[in-house]
Amino acid sequence: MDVVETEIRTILARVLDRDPALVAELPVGTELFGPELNLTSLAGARLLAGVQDRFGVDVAAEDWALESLTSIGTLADFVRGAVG
Amino acid sequence: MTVKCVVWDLDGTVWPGVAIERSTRELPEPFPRALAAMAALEERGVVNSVASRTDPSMAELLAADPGLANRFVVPQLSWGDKDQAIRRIVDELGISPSATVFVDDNPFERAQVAALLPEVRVLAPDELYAQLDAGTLVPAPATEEARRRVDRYREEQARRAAEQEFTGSREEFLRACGMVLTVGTAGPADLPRIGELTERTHRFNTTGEQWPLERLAGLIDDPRWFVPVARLTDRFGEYGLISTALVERGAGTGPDRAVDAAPGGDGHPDWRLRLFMSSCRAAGRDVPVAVLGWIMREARAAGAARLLVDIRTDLANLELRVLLRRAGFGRVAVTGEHALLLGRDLTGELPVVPHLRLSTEQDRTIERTGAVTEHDRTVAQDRVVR
Repeated sequence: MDVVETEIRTILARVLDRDPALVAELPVGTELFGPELNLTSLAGARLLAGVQDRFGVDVAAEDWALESLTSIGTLADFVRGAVG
Repeated sequence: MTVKCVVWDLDGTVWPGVAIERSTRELPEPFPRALAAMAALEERGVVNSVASRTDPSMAELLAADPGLANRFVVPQLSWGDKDQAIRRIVDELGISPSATVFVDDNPFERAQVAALLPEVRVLAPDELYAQLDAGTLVPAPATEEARRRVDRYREEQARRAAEQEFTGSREEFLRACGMVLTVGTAGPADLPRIGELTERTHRFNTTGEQWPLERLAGLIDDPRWFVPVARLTDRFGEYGLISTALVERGAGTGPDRAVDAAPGGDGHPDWRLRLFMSSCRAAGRDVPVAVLGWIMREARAAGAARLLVDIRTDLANLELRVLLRRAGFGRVAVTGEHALLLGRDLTGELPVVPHLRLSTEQDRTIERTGAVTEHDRTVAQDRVVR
């Protein structure tokens, strides 16, 4: 797991107010809006703000339909691609 | 920015002299002009609050004073600086400092707030009275709807206080609020409020488009359009009309307004949400999801295959864009600069909000008249499935 994915998991734990160790262990395919994480729209907006602060990547400006917000892995892939 | 709150200094502004220095434990007689101004502001939907540099114990006197008792929302009485007091007020009310006016007779207090909270409009009492009389402070007319807005701020304080005391989970608290969302289609009487929503909503507004009232009036009578409205009540009070949408039945996916596929044309035409709005007044209760879910069920019941949504990606509506993604909407087409068309097919489970009981206009008439229609049986059956 590279720094992009580990950082995204840290931000995710923070915006969901969940135990970072637990979020760090979740499979990479865990759905963001699925029952395990149950990301709300407010927490999702905070996640994107956190990603922008940390990586300088404005996901919402580049991925208009926010399709990268599917799983931990798809978001990490998108940010990885954008960071280049 | 429309003025939503006037923050009053007390000593020398609302009444003569310094209350705490009086020999008796009573408040001085308020200036009639101040009381009249507060009443005029409330009628225009502007909340009155207080930032007074005094002993916090004065708050009880304020709450017990017959003339002033419930004139103020979240009054701040402390020895601290007034910019801090105003910061607490705007956070508590969930409004922007630029929607706030501060009035104080003391030039030092005015200068301090002006320096540290520049977005706040700072006035001496006479300036406030002059602007109020000239109608330049609050241009909005005194309407019943505006006056009820002040009641809602009070209800919101009661809600927040109850939430702090509640020890169960967030979901249990929301269920305990007894929220009922009454949904129906817009009538002419709803048009001013719909117009107000087009101007006042930002976070939960898909396109930010301004639709003139005449055009809106035309839509509610046009069978090709569906204009739903949603009203929310809970055990603390009522929120009024808090969400609406302009939905084109049987629309195509082109960028312009023309109806490409004739209604009931080839197979299952889509329904298209040209504008969706929900007031922040009911934030934190998942109202937008409940309204969207209901519109989707109506579209499916009418035989539509998909619900389409026009949305701009350059506005302050990121949370709404995430909400749509969470509800299963995906990209359909780019319709312009920063303009996108999203879509979701209407098969399978549609979004539902457990703590929001959905009631249709007919339900309310059922409660009154007992007549059940076919449509209500499906809606009622749908609710049982949850």
